[in-house]
Amino acid sequence: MALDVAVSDVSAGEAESEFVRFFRSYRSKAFHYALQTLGNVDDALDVTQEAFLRLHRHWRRRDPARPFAPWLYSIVRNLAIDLLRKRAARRECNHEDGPPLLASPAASPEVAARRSELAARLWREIRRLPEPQREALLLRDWHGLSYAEIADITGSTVAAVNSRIHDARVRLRERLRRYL
Amino acid sequence: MNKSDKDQEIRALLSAYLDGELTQADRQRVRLYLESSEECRRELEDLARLKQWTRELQFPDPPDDLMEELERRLSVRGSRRLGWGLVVAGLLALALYGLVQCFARFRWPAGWLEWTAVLLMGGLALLFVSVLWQRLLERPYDRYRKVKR
Repeated sequence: MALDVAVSDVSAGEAESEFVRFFRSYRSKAFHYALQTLGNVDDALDVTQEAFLRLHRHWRRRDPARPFAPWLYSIVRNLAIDLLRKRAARRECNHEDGPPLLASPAASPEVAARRSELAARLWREIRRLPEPQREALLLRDWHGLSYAEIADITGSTVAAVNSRIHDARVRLRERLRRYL
Repeated sequence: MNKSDKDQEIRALLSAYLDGELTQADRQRVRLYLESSEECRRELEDLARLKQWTRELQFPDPPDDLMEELERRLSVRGSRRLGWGLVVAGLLALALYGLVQCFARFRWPAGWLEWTAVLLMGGLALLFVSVLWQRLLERPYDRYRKVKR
């Protein structure tokens, strides 16, 4: 995933339109990250909105040399963690049956049903992973971020990210052995 | 290093190998080991499949209308910033005018005061319109709109 949107020294108007472009490219990703962290659509929408409002407030002072996406992800993460702390308990996910897998266009009903069952099981097992492992795994596999970017977002090291992702996959492999 | 240690060491690198996050030397080391270990190859295939499945998970998209509304709110904030800029510029020009008039006799360029007034009034008008616009945009989503005072 290309994260680094190149930015030159731009005027206020260009900065605004640049922000709008960034917003359009990343609004879904920010929302999905919030949803995966919070497990609740309404909370995810609130966090996404607040994250972009904060980003907009500081947009003129951004460092053009650094990619913006990890910055956005960090804001979403901090807001989500704050929200979870305030509630003192993690809410369960809205989609209890798990999100469906992308079905191939020619998939038969049996195949589609099997993939749907697999998706539900996979998501249940991902949610059972320890928080740092789940976060690193989703940022890598679903959001496509590099280990360095994940380390930046989570305030960790590349070595720790590497180990979290590997541990998460090994656990999933053990728990989903019958599907493999 | 015995065979079991080496096996453990290579297995710990499999995820990073899959993600293209290893140095060239480590990548080469893993590749060579994979040629000799069928079990390791099978584990790598499993990890690759899990990665693919995770990537394919679908989550609901954010509602388009809410995202468009947020985009409008953000653009209103941009115009408000410009409004504040104009007001501050107008006030500074006015302060400068007052200060110089107090302490020195200075021949101001023609239209100085008029332009200052335009800056101030334009800024205030922009602020007013942006606040009004934002209120209108937020009205449909105001949770307390129907609450009687």
